[in-house]
Amino acid sequence: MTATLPMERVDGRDVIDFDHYSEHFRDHWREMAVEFHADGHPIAWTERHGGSWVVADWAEAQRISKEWETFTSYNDLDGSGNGGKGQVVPQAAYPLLLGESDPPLHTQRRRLEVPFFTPKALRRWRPLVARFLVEALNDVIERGEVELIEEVIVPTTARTTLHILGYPGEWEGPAAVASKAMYLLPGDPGYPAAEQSSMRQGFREMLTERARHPTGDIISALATGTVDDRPLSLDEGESMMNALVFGGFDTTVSATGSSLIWFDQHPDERARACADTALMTNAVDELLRHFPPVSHQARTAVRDTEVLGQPIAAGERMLIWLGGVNYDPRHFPDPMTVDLARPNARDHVSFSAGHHRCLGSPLAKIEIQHMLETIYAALPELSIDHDGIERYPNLGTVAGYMKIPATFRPGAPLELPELD
Amino acid sequence: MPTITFTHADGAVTTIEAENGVSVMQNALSNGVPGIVGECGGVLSCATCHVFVDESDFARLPEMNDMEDEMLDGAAEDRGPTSRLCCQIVVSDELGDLHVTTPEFQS
Repeated sequence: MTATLPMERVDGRDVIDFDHYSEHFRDHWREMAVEFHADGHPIAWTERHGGSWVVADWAEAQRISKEWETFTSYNDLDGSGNGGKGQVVPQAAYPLLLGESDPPLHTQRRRLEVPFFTPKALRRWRPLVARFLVEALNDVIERGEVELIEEVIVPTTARTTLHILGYPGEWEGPAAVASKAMYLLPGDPGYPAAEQSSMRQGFREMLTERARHPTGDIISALATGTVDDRPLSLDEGESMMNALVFGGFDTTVSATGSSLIWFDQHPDERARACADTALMTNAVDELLRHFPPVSHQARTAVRDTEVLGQPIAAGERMLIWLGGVNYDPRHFPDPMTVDLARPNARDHVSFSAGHHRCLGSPLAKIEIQHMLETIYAALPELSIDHDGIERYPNLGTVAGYMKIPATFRPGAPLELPELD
Repeated sequence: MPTITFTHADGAVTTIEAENGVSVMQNALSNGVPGIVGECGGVLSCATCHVFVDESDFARLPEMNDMEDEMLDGAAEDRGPTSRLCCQIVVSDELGDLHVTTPEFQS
């Protein structure tokens, strides 16, 4: 069998050709992960996208994510700071002021959004998810056929995110721009640069307006919030809104799509999970482990250090390969097998780890589980047309889907869940 | 080595030998103690490691910071006067044996 991740020794270090934007990665990442772990030393250098140490060890991924004083998230674009290359590979030209910051400033910025994702807050969002989902299902339920991504999953997740944000106006525009920005790189033809720029200008206008008339939503919290005893700046507010809109639902769409496809291929497992809420809850995590929506998180060493005994020089970037970590056999025995009852399924790093661990993760899990359970109850005999599935051309940012067509036995519209 | 005794909402009791330098939350998860979730891994982002600390231990704990205080307002079960997020309680010989009650709900 041909190796999917050949490694060679160059100038005293293990080197691989690791490109998370490639078709090869899209089609073979799991086999690559298994090979990478085979010698028990999953760390190697790749020259791609400016060079990084690719790491797939679970314990080291936790350590790198938590030890921010050694591994910065900062994106030092103008070179006046600590040399950090930011949170994503390739380095982003538009800094993510929440994701690409370190404590204590990061803590203060994140604190403005955290109240919207506490257990009490999530109780307010659950009815929204239910309502938006039923509205979407009722648009298709009498037809007997559906395109699950655009007609059910995107409307449900986008509308929920944008509602919590307090984003005025229609949701379809942001949703479309968010998708394209996920699988195209800036500079690719078709990258929605103009639309994205116009949306960001719109964020600034919304922040300015909510500063005058706060309404209790996230935009208002960002518009009136303070960090370091000074008002959050418009640049910070815009960047944080950008992260919520552009990163706040495409990932959930990805996880839900992957789960629906897997359950379609494993109907016995689907029946088991649908009959047992606790199993379905664990299944959501196990499927997140097996189908990580996001490929990686980056950090930059600010001092000479080591990972798995490999010397790391100050200024070198770490690429925490989330799917690779989820396949660490020392933490997840028999990682290729999807075991819905896997006891430590929750240990996956698909939401990352440490201070930047996905703030929206509890909402995402609520949405994924609710969509799975409701779709299966509402659309009997659901059958996905696997030949019609269209995936993003690469998994570089998000392992997304453009289309998942399916048929089902049509029925009558569902009763709309109440909103308070 | 200090012990931590967890009284659960249904009355069951679990006692563990705790590791020093590690949070009560992490000690609970490592020992499979039910009733603690710790979704965010201990970065004050999720309020799912909520416990009611026994009054006799509460006063010995280092004071909570503003963020923990804010997060407790969002916990699934209403906070009480001795509520803490146990990712912020680090076990030590000085702190000694601890007794906490876990809430019925963490989400």
